[in-house]
Amino acid sequence: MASGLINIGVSGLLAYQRSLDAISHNIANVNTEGYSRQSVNLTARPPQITGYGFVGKGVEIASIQRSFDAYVEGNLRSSTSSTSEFEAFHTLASQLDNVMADADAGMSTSLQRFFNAMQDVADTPADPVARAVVMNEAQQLAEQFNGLAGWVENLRGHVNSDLRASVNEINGITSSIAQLNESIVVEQGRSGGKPANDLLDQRDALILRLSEYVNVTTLQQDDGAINVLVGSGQPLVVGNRPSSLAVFNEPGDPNALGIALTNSNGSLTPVTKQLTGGRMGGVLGFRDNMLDQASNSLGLVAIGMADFVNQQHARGMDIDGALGGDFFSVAQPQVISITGAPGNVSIGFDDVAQLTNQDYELQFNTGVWSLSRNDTGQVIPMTGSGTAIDPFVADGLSIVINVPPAAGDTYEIRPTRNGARDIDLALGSSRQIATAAPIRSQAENSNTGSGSISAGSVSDITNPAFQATPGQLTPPLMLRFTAANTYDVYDNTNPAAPVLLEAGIAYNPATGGDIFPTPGGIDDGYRMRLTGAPAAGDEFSTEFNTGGSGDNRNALAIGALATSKLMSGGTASITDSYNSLVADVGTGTRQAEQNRLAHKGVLERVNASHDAISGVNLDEEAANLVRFQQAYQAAAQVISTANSLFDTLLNAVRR
Amino acid sequence: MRISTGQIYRQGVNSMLETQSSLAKTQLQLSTGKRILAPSDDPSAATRVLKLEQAIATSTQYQRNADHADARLALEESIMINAGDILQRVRELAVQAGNDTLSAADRAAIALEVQESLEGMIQLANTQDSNDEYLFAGYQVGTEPFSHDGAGNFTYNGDQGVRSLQIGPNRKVSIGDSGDAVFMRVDDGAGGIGSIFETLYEFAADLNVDNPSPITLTRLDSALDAITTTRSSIGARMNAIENQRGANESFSLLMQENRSQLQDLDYTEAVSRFEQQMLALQASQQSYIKIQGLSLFNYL
Repeated sequence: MASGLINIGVSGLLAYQRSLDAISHNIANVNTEGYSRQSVNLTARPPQITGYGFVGKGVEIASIQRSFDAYVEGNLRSSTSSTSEFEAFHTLASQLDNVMADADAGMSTSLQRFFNAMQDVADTPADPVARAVVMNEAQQLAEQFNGLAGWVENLRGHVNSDLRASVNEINGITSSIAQLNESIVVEQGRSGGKPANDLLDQRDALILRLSEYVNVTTLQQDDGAINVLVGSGQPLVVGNRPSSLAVFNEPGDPNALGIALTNSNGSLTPVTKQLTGGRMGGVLGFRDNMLDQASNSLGLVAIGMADFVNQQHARGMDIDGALGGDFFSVAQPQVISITGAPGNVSIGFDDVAQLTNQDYELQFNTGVWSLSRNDTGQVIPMTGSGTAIDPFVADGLSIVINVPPAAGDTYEIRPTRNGARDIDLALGSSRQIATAAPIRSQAENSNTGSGSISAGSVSDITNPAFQATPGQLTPPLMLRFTAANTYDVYDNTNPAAPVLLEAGIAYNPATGGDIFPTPGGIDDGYRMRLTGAPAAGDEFSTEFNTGGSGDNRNALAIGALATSKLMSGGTASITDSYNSLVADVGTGTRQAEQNRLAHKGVLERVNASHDAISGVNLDEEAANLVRFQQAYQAAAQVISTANSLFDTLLNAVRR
Repeated sequence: MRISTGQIYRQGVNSMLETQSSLAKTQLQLSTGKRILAPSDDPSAATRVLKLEQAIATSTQYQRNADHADARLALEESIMINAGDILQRVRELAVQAGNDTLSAADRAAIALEVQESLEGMIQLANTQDSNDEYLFAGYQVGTEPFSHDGAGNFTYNGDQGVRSLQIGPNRKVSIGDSGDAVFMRVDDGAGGIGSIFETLYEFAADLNVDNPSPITLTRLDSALDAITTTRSSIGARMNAIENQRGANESFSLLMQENRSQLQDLDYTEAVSRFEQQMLALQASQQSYIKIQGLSLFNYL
């Protein structure tokens, strides 16, 4: 009888000692990352059957259990993934955000200063100082574009080093998970299927850390192992075997890294497009959705500005009487051969006003070339036939196929990607700034009527009238009124003996009229207007603007480009198009920030419910400590009672 | 719900970190005086601020152009005043020379003064500005516009170009007149066109042969008319510039007001927000310390 009492007492002592062990284990691990609170489950021993019923035999330990909920853990992983995704995105995006609208680093001030300098030189076109200022501002503008493009490229470097670091980190984590899988399978097998709580905690902590880098899914195996999958089911860990990730250079683009899974034979399976969530998802998302777009948009502004300034500058005349050359050098579209021989395709700009900030894919399939936008996949119809004489034209690009293609030939086209990086000042000296227009008009002093002729503007500088002989109009023209409402046009090469080109052109003194092109088709690439009431015999003439260094018509025209709606099919000015880049970056960053905060809030709530289940509360442990201590003392008391019962019995027998 | 000890710590620290970061942002707003620190703070307002800044800078440039146009026209006006004075004096001389009591020697003396006036007039017409540009040469500012062969033939070497400047979004103003129009194309009193210089030269020549022509007065009057017409056209343009300047100024002021509304900080609001955030930080610090001190172990 007393031995039963002792056994029961001992069973209590052992049970409460284990319980106290578990409590001290909990207290010791109160700050251990990923630790789940453990508790000892007690159960009554199987009773002994007697004739009068069941007699209790004490307590025993059923199991040592960790407080864990797989569903909450799953939420914690996905929430951790999304939070670190948006954190990574936001960190990178806010760097772009900070620089774009900055008065010193952004483009807004430089663009304004260049066009203002152009207006200043219009005030005093022959002034060497004003001309030097234009050169200086133009140089600054080009360098500002280069600098900002460099900053953007720098972020691309950040992206790449971040991807490399993440891949290394992920590989380390997955091999640890594989090792833990092995240990867990072994240990749980040895213990007859009892959970290896602390190893399980370690593995869950690793999977959670993995979720910070990339979104993963897990598959629990019967033997206790967990398989970890990434993307759309690509295995990272199967049992005790990890697969490693690797980075590789995307074909044709040394600046873009792709992510691949290393197969057992060492070959790579690209998974870049499948990866979502986590730091990696955020970094890739930033690169694909914001950085490329920002590069392209900035390039678009640079190319648009340079091209429109060049076009107008070409219509002018410099201080030495030469026609305007290129003011800025413009980057050509980037073509990357995905499949198909490099150099088979030449891309140029057809109309900068129609350019977009998109990248395109050009593909030859079933005997037809097709062009599609990378972001939407939308097919862009092309006109033309792709030959040098009749190139394909679409979205402002002109595309020439040089060599007959093979089926499946694919090229990636990035029209404006390098626009800001490669823009440069092309003009060599400030004397070459074409501030003047190359033409001027003259009303003869002998005129008796009140007619006057406008100074004129150039419509097409490639016209032979300008190009045939540098420094002169071929030919200069003369208009002679034969009556108040009729005039003839003469070739005025020899003013002493003008040669009649076209006779009897009607003129309405009440409304005035544009002279060119004449009804007979004389069009020398410039436009002039007659107004007022000339008299018969009155003469007006046009000539090359020789010596016209005080003329500022072209400088005014270039200055006016700043506010003209030239870009995006005539809907946006150059500065508008930069502003919309700033707005895009700002909106994207703001969205990332809002997403980050939202997911952080969710993560906090999930963390709270996770901790409600698995976390250690010291007050609770203290209370349990007291409870089990008391129970232990009581069990000891049982043994002491058994002892005194035994003594009582011995004493009785001894007598 | 159970709350773990780690969570109590984390929550306390997180709330302090968050309050600190919003405090830092408010402080940056207070020190810069700007509500928008990066475009993401308010993308649409930030873009509008950029646009407004561009509009203000453009408007400032129009003002610079207007200042330049004004100075240039003022210079031309002063030349026209001098030219008018010269012609007025010559007209007096013409009236005087018509007096029958004058001897040939008297008229020769007057001729001398008229020749001086001619020289002065040519000098005025060949005036250069501070950049050594000839004012009345049209586009060919590097070419001396008026030359005289010494025998009464005056040539205009410039052209009829007139430079204009942008002084408002839709407003250009001519900042000069071609010498041709001002000095060469003047009614010669006989239904034709002649230059002011010829009028003076021929008057002096007539005086030297003691034979003043009655047409001289008519010609001088039409020369004076021409100068007056140019002057009033200059005046009209200067008025237009003045008006445009006013318009630019009020436009610029309006844009600046808009910009300030969009991006400037409401200090009252920001300071009270700052106080509130400080209070919140202090509260979370104090509550953190208090809660950290609570433990059942203290009583065991």
